[in-house]
Amino acid sequence: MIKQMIRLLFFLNIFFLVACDQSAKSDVASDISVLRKGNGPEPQTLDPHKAEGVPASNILRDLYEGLISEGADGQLVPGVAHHIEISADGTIYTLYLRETARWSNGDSLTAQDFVYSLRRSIDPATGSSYSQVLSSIVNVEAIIAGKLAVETLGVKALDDHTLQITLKAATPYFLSLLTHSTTYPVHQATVEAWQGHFSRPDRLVSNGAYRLADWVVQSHIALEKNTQYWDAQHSRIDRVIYYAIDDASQELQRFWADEIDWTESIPVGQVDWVREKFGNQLHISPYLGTYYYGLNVTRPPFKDQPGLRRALWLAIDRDTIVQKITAAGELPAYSWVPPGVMHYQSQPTADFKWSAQQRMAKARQLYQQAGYSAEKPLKLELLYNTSENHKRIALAIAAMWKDVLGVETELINEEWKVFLDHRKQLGQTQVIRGGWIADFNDAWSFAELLQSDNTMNNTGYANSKYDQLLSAASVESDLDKRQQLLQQAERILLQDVPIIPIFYYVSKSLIKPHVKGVEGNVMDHHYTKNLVIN
Amino acid sequence: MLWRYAFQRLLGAIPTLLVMIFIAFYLIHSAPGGPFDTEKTIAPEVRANLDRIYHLDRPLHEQFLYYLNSVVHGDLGPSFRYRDYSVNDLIGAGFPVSFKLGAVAMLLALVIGCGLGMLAALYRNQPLDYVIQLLSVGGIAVPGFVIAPLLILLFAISLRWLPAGGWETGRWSDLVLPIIALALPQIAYIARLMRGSMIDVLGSAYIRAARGKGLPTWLIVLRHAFKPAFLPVLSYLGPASAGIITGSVVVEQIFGIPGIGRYFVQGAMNRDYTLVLGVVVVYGALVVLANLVVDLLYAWLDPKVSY
Repeated sequence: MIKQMIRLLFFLNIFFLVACDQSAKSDVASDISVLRKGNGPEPQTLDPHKAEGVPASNILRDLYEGLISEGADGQLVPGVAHHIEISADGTIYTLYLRETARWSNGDSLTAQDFVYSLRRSIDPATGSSYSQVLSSIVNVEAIIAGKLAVETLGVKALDDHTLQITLKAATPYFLSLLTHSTTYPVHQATVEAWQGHFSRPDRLVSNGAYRLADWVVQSHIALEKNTQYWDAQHSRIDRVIYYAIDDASQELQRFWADEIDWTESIPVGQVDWVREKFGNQLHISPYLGTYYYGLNVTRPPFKDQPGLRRALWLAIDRDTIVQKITAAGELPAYSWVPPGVMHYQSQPTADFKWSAQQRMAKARQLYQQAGYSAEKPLKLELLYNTSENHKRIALAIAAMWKDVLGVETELINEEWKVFLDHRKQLGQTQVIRGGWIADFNDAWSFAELLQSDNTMNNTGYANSKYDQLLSAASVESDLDKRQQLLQQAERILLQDVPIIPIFYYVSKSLIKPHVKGVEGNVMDHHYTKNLVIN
Repeated sequence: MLWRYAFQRLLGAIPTLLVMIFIAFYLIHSAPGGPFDTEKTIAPEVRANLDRIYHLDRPLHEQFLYYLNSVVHGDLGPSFRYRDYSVNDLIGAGFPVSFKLGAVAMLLALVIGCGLGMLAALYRNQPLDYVIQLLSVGGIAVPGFVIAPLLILLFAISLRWLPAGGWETGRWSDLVLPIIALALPQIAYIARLMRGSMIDVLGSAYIRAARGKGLPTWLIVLRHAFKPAFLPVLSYLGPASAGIITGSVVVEQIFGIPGIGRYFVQGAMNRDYTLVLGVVVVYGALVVLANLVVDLLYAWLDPKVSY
């Protein structure tokens, strides 16, 4: 009997190996050009109107093409629309679409497709979490609120290849918005055939330079060159594979083992080692994002205490944080809007130029004026989401507050979803970690976060003057005047200190030298069609 | 008789599974935050729509009954996170991967574990025994999340023999390191069990009689001693299958293998209620089944046991 068992085990093993081997052989290897990218967590969907987050956006940029696209340097370039006319008051956009634009199944891409898609994107029945970014188009807010029918949206097809979009007011960043996935077209027949669940390899029809070839959930998403794409002759990479790797260390191991060409991130605290080991394969470039701490201004100790808030601002030695902790070329932040934003000069506070001693002296003075001392120290709770990086920064800042002012800070870390739930509770929070990455390249993307009625304003900050300036800026079509209004608003914001900016983000990736055509850009957007593999 | 027993056991498993689903359902729903809480705040009207589509606007007990009803009908529901996939789709894709991983690891653990255990017993208190014992204590003590990165460092980065992670359909080399990482603790445990029971059996009267007849040692071990010595190992296979399952949760995560263990971890973090519950149902059924198979095998191997 034992012999039988051993024979059985042996047979099973052989069977298993043969089965594996055969299926391996079916994967025909050839010399096609393949780009393999680490892409962070698994995207939730590749439906451009429901997707959110950086990993999904990276893939969607290859799968779809919006009316406007971006070059390798991040500058706006024509997408499906080859020509655009904007009315004198900046509210009517007439977009002329390429007659050669096609869907991946060969169908012609028309203005009606865009009308259908934009309506679908806004329709509350779709369940898009990003539909609000399109609120500059006529009637969007009323449609989202269910007060108007989706057909009343300010978008119409003048003919098969001419689209007209009407805005509530001039919106200087509207062209940037047209690169956002919420504005991508979806193939109506496919969407309807699958009742919305169409973003799967055997179903998806897209209009970008690549089409969906394979999707193994929690493993990888593979795209292949879309031969129907109007500019297909310039796509030099045949296949791009996005690997779902949520752990930066694992991603680094796979890059090191030559299994991926491009990492999405670098493990925290290993930038120096990575730089030494991989040299110029490490790519670091400025990124439109600000790492900050939000202060809850609706309850003690920060309510009506701008001096105390300023003291905490001044006691943080940002140079030490960017040099010793993050250490990847991040810049210390003294303003809310980072440098590099289009049509905007950032507005750092005066202490930007002060020496460390000056800052500390002023911080101590303000701290005492607020009624605190060594005998009666301020006690704070600092809430952040569980992450090695956030922990190190929080520890350093708590130590700085302790050294300079004597503040006793209790660090509270919470798992991501718990944190998201907790940080909205204005009745409980004091200091909350935050990070804000621009959705589009415009100061508005930052400014709107601190509006009193913004649902993501977790500080409770409400200053009517700030809100008024933003309202004025939102209808101002003169770019210079608009910039002045937004700058004035930012100065008020920084004076009130509901937030303490700490540093401006950088994007960090390891890229193999055979990947050519990579240019750093502040949005960290990279289209595979702009790249080459040598 | 045996079939009747098996049928009774399967019937008995139903309340166990129901209690498990009930506990898991309320536990995951009691975790703060929900599937649609993200960095961005969704417009209230959109949120209300999503809640309606996924029945989150109903009281919890109604949601539970609704879920239970669909499970009974073989539908594990739509994934809250992966909006284009149902949980049946996801488990259908992930289960074969996990099963392949787990089954091969288990086979390996049995074959190598028993082999090492027998060797250690035969060379009791000799250098080979000490080496095997030392290795097996190490195998039990060092957790998978330590072994896995070490394996990657050695075989993927230094030697470049095997991939550091990932999964291409059908590429067997992707499975080697995860299987080793998964099998090692079980090999260690089974080797220790086998050694102990083999030493006991080798000391018994009928083995001494066999030796007295002049039979060669390998024949005594294989023909006479193995079967009784294997019984404790067999009893361990139930817990071992549970151990393989919990181990695969870690190993799949480290190696980026798209199995249901990875869904379980990601599902819990994303509050993908239905996916987590679906995996719980599958794991639960699997453990119940594994225990039943072990009990049936017991009856087959041990003449003293009958049902």
